[in-house]
Amino acid sequence: MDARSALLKEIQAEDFALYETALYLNGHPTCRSALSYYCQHKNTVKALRERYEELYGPLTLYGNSSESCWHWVDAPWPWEKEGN
Amino acid sequence: MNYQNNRNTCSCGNENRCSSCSYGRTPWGSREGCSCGRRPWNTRSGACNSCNGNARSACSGICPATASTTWKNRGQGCSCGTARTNCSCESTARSCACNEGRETRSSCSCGESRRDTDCDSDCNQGARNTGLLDGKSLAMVYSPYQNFDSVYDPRQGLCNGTIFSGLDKPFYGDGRGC
Repeated sequence: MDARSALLKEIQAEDFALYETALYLNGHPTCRSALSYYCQHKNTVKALRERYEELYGPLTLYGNSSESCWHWVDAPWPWEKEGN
Repeated sequence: MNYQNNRNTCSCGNENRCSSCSYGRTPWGSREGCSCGRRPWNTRSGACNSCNGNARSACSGICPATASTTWKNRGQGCSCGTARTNCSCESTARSCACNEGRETRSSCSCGESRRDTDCDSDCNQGARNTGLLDGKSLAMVYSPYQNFDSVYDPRQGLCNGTIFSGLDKPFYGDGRGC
């Protein structure tokens, strides 16, 4: 697995944990343990995403940081072999 | 026996109706309002209801036991052909069984019999799950409170489908599917 795929995999894992925690908090909104876990992993996901987008381009259309070029359309697209 | 000469013994108290007392019928006790052909009745007041061959043994209106039904005296009129249990009139032997979704019943409607013993093991499961559900209301759904502990590492959670070890229920299919 190359570095780009490994970083993407790490983002997916952290994002998944964040979604799981958010679902738990929907039913337990005052749980301090869950809130602490959520804040911690939210910062981790933010840092990982910024690192990925700096190296490999935007992950979402909100991730385009250039003011001169729209990198969202840069190849490969997700359905292309090189994009996976 | 020549009934023509014994109209006073015919069940038809009204001599004008004894024309239907055909030859060969057994003598009747003296009473009013019964048609010829019925078995002797004790003297009683009120309507002499047809019992389809069953004889009334007492003026209370209780039909005697037949070969297939058992009767209990409840003091309330049971029509011939029906039996009384502890509940009510029962026209068949159909029972209010556990496989009909009912537990031990304190009362049954007609057509159902009372179960005096507890149901089989597949019934009353709720009653056997004592402890946590003691005193809890029926027809309510209860879910244990989930604590935020025993969470997997995010990578392991993604692989398992959940970060909560308590919700990690692997599928053990036996191969039989649609």
